[in-house]
Amino acid sequence: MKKRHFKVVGFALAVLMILSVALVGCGNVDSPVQTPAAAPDGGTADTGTAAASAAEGTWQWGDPAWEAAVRAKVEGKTFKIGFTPPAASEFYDIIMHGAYTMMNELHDRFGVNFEFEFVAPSEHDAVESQVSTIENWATKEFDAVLVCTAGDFDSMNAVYEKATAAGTAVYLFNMPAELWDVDSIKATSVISYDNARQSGYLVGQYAAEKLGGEGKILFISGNDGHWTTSRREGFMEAVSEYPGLTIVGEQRGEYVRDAGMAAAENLLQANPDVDFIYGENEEMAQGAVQAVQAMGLKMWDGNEGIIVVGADGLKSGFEQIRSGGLTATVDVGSVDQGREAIKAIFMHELLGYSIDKVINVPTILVDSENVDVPEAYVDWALATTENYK
Amino acid sequence: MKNNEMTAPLAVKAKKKIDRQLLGLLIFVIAMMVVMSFLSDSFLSVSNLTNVFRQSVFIMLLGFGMTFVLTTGGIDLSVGVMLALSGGMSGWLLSMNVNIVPAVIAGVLVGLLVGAGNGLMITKLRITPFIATLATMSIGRGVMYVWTNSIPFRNYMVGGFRFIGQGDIFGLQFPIVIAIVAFVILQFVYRCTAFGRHVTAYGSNEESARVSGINTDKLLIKVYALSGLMAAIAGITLASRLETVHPEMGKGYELDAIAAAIIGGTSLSGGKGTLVGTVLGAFIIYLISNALNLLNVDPDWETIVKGIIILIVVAVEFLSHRNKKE
Repeated sequence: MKKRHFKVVGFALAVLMILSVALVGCGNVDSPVQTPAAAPDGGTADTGTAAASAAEGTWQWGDPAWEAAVRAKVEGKTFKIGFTPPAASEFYDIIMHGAYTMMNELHDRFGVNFEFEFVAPSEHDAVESQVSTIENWATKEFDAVLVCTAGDFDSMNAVYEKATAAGTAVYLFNMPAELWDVDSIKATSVISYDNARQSGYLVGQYAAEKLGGEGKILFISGNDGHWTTSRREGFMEAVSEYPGLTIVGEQRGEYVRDAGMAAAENLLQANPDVDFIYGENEEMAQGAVQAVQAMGLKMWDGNEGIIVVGADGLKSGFEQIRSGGLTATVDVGSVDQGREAIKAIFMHELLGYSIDKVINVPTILVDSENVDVPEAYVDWALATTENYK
Repeated sequence: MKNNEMTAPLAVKAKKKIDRQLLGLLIFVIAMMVVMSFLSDSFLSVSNLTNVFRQSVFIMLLGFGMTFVLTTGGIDLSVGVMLALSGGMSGWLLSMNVNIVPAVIAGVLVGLLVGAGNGLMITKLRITPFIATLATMSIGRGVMYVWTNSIPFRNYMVGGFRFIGQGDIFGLQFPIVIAIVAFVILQFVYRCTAFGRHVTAYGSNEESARVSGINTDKLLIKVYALSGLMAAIAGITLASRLETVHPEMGKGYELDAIAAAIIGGTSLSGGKGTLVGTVLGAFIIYLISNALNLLNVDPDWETIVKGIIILIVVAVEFLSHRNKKE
């Protein structure tokens, strides 16, 4: 865990000292950190620059001999990966761009080529359409598929086993693996974050910290499903540690802005004296902010007002935090989920390293104090174009 | 009500039925207010009720268009998508620094054109309204994803545009004003114009309407274009209200709009409809949500309770009607 924290921080802040610790602490193999020098211009993922830095051996991952050995093993190979999120959305777009950054990097350094296909079902809960997508990819002899689905492990395990048996390795991303017994997961690995401990709990803690352990909370939840279950669990756990914090209302906002706003408006009518609103994603949280403002209530200014917190780590969320339209959010490590997933596939499938069943990426609670760091990381990923063939 | 309906001679029988249903709805709303006023302090306040009305405006506007469509015996499943496309067009143009007037006009045109396209498919290609608008819904949603690249349009708010969804006139929120104006105009159109009478006539008996010399193709194209226009107005208002256009904006609104019209007493099989009922229908849908939210009913139960109440409202009307017949 620790080393990945170092990775994000080291990358974004370009703090040399931390980088050196990360390198010493993690060994050569496991820490694909770019040098500070590569970070600013590598940020645009300009092929020329990236290729140049690879050639000059400035990638901070192993020594030249190791680089050469890996290159000898994978150069010229083409690896087919399918990527299927539960919906086409800004969030999954960031994860996909995170995957691009790692594929570009591996392509530049080791000469491995990727074929990458993206299919999202038209309906968020259309699990069966994702099942057929995975089956199709297995039939087309894809080497690996990256899956995130509203279907839980129990219902999806059959197709995971089937695809794996057909030679298509199944990797999951953005799935709350913490809700299931690790042994029951039939995918090769789950690259995600802990929705309870690394998202919901952080928000509860933030509430306790900002409110001094005392205040009234409104909770606007998403559609029932495994993400909501886990986030709520973490949030409730943190809140329950402070007897002064009470949840005075909870309603569903269906993960969309208009429903989130309507739920917040209705709840605020009954509880205009709340201190804190938790919207389980940023769209709902921003809807809640608009409800607060429309009712003439005061948003948090650092000392007083209503604190509104979301979760996702989208560009729009960061912009709102900057302009005071949203107090805070949880960046759930979308860029790293994409990067680590590709890296896990590369290490395990192409080089034969073992990997853990559950790989959780770092997440961070973002408010106006620290928004620069995660925003720059997401910007960098989103600006990356596909250059891995 | 009664005076207005004198001008609709074809619907004399339907009129009584509708009046009874409207009365039933009013009684339901009043009963709900009485009960709720005991259960919650904040329910019966002006600010809460205007809020509920404001929340229902978007479904109401879609419901107005839907009332015309349903009266012809058709259905329009694409209103949610037309709402998104129109709001998206205005938002997208504004984000490219286009002046607000052409941006809004372009948004309105998108709704009108897509709606007219529905009408053309239905009349010229003889595709049933359900299938034609289902296709439009699917294509339109896909266009939204491709067009936005799955990333919501945003950063398009300018002062004038903000007013559409968030401004006030004489203390009334502007979306409410839009709904009132739309209602008054459409009520006139529905009750007092040849177009409105033709819509009802066509829905009552398609063949006799055709025989009596109504250009039915033109009529239907106009009706679906009107539905598109209402969706566009709702979409542009919502784009201003939400300050962002999500590719999934308006998803599922078509079902709420249909529900609003049906609850209000408009018939799914055509021939009768009422805009007053649609106003009440849309208001009731949001009033139920609001009441359950204020009482902090477990969200898992909310949808169940909502569905049951809608069933009761419609069933009571049906049963009372049947009993009177017997």
